This record gives sequence, structure tokens and C-alpha cells, in this order.
Amino acid sequence: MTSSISRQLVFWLAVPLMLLALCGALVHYFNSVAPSVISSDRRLKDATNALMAHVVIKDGRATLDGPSPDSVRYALRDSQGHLLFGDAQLPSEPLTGLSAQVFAMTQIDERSLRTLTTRFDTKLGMLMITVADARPPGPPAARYGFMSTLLWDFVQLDITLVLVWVGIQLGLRPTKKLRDEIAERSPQDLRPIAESSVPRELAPIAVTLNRLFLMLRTSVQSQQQFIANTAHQLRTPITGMQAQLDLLAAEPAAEPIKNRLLTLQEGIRQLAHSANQLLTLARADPAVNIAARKHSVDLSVTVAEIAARFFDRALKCNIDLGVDVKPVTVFADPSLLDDLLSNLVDNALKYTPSGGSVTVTAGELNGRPFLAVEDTGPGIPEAERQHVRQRFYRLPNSPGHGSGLGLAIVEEIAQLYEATLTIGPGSGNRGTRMHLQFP
Amino acid sequence: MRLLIVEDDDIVADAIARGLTAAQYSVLRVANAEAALKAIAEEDFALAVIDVGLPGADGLSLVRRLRAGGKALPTLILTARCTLADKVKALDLGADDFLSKPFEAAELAARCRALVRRANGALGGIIKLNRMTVDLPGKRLRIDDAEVELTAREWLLLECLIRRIGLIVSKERLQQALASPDQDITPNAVEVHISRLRNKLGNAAVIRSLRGLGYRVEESKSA
Repeated sequence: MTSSISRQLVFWLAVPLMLLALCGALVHYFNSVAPSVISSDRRLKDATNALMAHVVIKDGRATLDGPSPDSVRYALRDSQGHLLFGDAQLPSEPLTGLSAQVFAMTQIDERSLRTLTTRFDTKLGMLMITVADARPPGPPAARYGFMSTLLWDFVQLDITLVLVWVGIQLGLRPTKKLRDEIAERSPQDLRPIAESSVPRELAPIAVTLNRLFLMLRTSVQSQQQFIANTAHQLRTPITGMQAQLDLLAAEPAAEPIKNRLLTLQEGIRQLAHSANQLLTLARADPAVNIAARKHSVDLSVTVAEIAARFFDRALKCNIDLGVDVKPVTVFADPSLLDDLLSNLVDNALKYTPSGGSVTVTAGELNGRPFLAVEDTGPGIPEAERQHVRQRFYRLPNSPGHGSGLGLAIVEEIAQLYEATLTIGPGSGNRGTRMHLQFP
Repeated sequence: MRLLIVEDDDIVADAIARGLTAAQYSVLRVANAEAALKAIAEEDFALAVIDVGLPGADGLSLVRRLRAGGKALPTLILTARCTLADKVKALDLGADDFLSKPFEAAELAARCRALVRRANGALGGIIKLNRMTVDLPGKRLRIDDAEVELTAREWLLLECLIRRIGLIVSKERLQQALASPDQDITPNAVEVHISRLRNKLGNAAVIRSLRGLGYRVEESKSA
């Protein structure tokens, strides 16, 4: 389970507060109950003194002169313990040694009674008087007080905790704001978080995140820079070599030399193609496109541009190149879309025999943009349709010297824009249809 | 006809110069933007082939300076970088065409030829296509020194195609060119007029059709 700051704060506040409430109740108990014990002892002493003053010895018998007090129970005994008058249930405590008075607790009718037994001398000799409080006992009342105190404390505690909870929620609002700000960011958004808008406690998190954002931005930029530099460094010499070789091959030469020049030309062309494809693959890498800006691109314009670019090749191969487009907009990097469609058209022209046709279509299907290239070539067997998407995979008996990267590039770029590539047969179950469905 | 090549890589510049010389152009090679500006100030060129990645001020800023200076000189931009953003930027700055490295020598020569012809077409000049001569101001077409009679619509089509020689002219554009206030032109009618124009041109020039997109005129390869 993930920890919650609110829950932790409430826990660490609730436990000590509960202990504090318990202590308070105990203190309250001792402050209120202990004095009541002391005062009841004094009452017993006062009652004893009053009773002793009214004990009258007459005719060798001890009697009580005056009204018997009803707030106390009492018993008078002689030194042998025989009851002279009073409450027979009250036991007299044996007085040992020199002490003239002793307090004790006794059980009568399942009630705890505190008793005071006092020894005193009369004409009849030593007598003992035992006095107990006849009123309802004090301690249960005190105990009730303790319980109510505790209950009240806990009610207060509950209210306090609710207030604390509300306070915590309010206090943690900046954290939630930061959380929402980060959660709502698109993965492409690498702008720093405004550190001034973040509370001091969270500033280190914002600073660390900003540092990571910066590192990521820098890394993306340096990778883009590297690709651009590599492109320049590779293409310039290849261009030079290819152009020089083209000129050389056009010069009159003996047959064996001519053949070797043609082989070299083909090799350079292959090298140029591979370099282009690898650079495109590198540019289509999701890591390079993290913060890439997307532009609205009209697919029909892209199709028209690429069809025009491949027109000469189609004429040379005697393939009828055609388009069928309706204006439709997608959000993407136009140069990557260009690469994607170039690869699809390039493949279609490569695999379609002379006299066939290649048709590029773009428009909307079920309200979503699509792009498709259909050819009248041999088609791709069902079993091969997954394999051809893999890098460097080439169909058995593929013509020419392709790099096997074409469809991998298409797939990679399609994934950047959450588009799905479907490979199937063309209309009339002939040839191949590469259908790219945008979301 | 004289062309200016602005390219710092020696091997590439040498190959371009040789290729264009072989295509009957006279060329001047310079290696940076400053030398290019100086050469353009001293001499009139029919076209400048400019590499983007020049040392110092790059090719795109050279185009900007040319356009800012009011020079209408047609420019063909070469780049080794692959982003379409470069292409869009180049065309926005006023470059006339764009070619990615590596390219084939024949492709470069064809683009140069088309650019020079388009510049002439835009100026309303006389355009020679092998056996065919199109006199835009005089509205006259000659094939092998023989005058060819064209209807008004056929002439409009030919002019539209010739002014954008080497480029595909969309069917919609041709439709608009043929339309008159009192008569709408259907796509079918465009096809009919194109077919008649093809018959009149015979094998002196070819009108290619890119299905669903438009037409392109090109000179026939046979001499």
C-alpha cells in the first residue's frame, strides 16, 4: 500500500492526543477522588467524636443520649467485643498496640464500607466504637466522573481530529497542485516547473524534476544534433562519390571497365540508400521525438508531393502511378510523414512488375484519417505479414538490394503518431494494400 | 547560358560543375556566400545552385539576402540534412527548387533545365523544347519549323503546362485555366482537350498523366 501523508499526519497526531486524553482523565480522577476520601475520613472522625460525647454510662450500662445520627452507622462494643448497642453488622477492628484509632474497609451487603474504630476509656472500662458512612458510597460516583471525563475527552479528540484532517487537506493543497501539474503534463512537455509557485518543502522535488527535464531536453537535442551532423558528414562524401562516378560511367570506356563502374555505381547507390534509411530510422526513434512539435499536415498534399517525386521512377518501370485523395488533416512531423509514405511507395514500385499499377489513397474512414498504398504486385503471403515489419527482414526472392528497413521505418513512425499499419491484399484480392489508420 | 554553383565541398562542386558543363551550361564555382554575392553583382546568371551547409553564412541566408536585394535569379537548393523543415524554409525564403543529397547527376541537370525554362516561361519568353518552340507572347507553336494551329482552349492548356514545365499541373488548375465566365469545364472536358493537344504535338513532346493528380509536359527524348 502506498503511504499517504494525510493519513500519517493524522496517525501521528491521533495516538499522542489519545494518550494525552487518558492522562488528563487520570489526573482529573486523582484530583477529584482523593480529596473525597480525605473528606469522608474527616467526617467519620467528626461523627465518632460526636457519638463519643453522647455515650452515657448509667446503671453500669452504656447508652446513647440523644438522637441517633442517620447519616452514619455505628456500633459500641466492650473490650471483649460484645455489642453494647448499635449495628451488629459493623465489625470492630482489633486495635493493637498503642494506636487508639484505626481505619479499615469492610464488606457489608456487598458494599464496600470504610470504617473507623476508636478505643476510649469509660467508667465501664475500655470501650470500642466503630463508625461507618451510611450514605451511598463515594467511589462509584467518582468512577462515573472518571468515565464521563474520558468520554468527553474522546469526543473533544474526535472533533480535534476532524479539524486536523481538514487543516491537513488545506495545508497539503500545494502538494496536490504540484501533483496535478505533473500528472496533466503531456509526455512531450519538458518545460521546467515554475519553482516560485512551489512551497519551500517541495522545492527540492521541483528542482530535481527540472534538472531531469533539462537533462532529457539536452539529451534529445544532442541526439538530434548528432543525427543532423552524421547526415551531413555521410551524405556529402556519398554525393561527391556518386556524382563523380556517374560522370565517369558516362565516359567512353572498354566493356570490362564499364561493367566495373556500373557495379561501383550500384554499390554507392546502395550505400546512399542504407545511410538514408538508417538516418531516417534514427530520426523516427521515440526518444528523439520526445519534445517534438507536431504540425497539422494535409495528407492529400503529402501524397501529391510524393507521387510527383516518384512519377519518373514509375514511368521508367512502366507502372501506372495514381492517387485518389480527399483533404484530411493529421498532426505530425511533416518530414517523418514524408519518409513514411516514401517508403511505402518505394516498396510498392519495387515489388510491382512492369504494366502494373500503384495507387496512393488518403481520406477519412469512419471519421478517422487514413493513408493507403495499394499495388498489383505479387502480394505478401499471410505468414510473412508480421515478419516484414521487422528490421532488416527481407522477403525471400526480393528484387534489388534493399536494406530491409522500409517497413520498420513505416512502423516506427506510425507508432509515434499512434497509427496502426495493416498489411493485407489489395482490391480483388490481388497485390498488397498497406493501410495506415490514424487515431 | 551561365550557372553559378555555390558549394564548399570540392568533390561535390567538381562533379556538379562537370555534370552541368556536359549538359551544355557554362558554370562558375564559388565556395561561400560572400564570393557568391560578389559574382552575382558582377555578372548575370541564369540560375544559382546553392548548398545549404556553407561555411560562415549558410545557403538559406544567401537566398534571403538575394531576395532582399531584389534579385529574381532562380535558385536550386542542395541539402545533406533531411528535415522537411529545411525544404519548407528554403521555399518560403524564395528558393525555387530543392534537392536532397545524394542525388543523381541526371536529376540535377533536369531540374536545372526545368528551372531555367520555368524562369523563361514566367518572364513570358520563348521556350525551346527540342523540336518544339513555344512563343508565349506571340501565342505561336512551331514543331520542326512548321506552324501548328491550336484552338484557344488547347493553347491555354499548353501555356499552363509549359509555364510549369517539369512540374505536375493539377487537373483543378487546368480546369480553372479553361473555365470562362459563361461556361464551366468538367474534368472530362479537360481530358478531351488534353487528348486533342497530344494529337497535335505528335511525338515532339509528351504530356504525361499522373492518375488522379494532373499532367506534366516534357520534351520527347528522340532528337
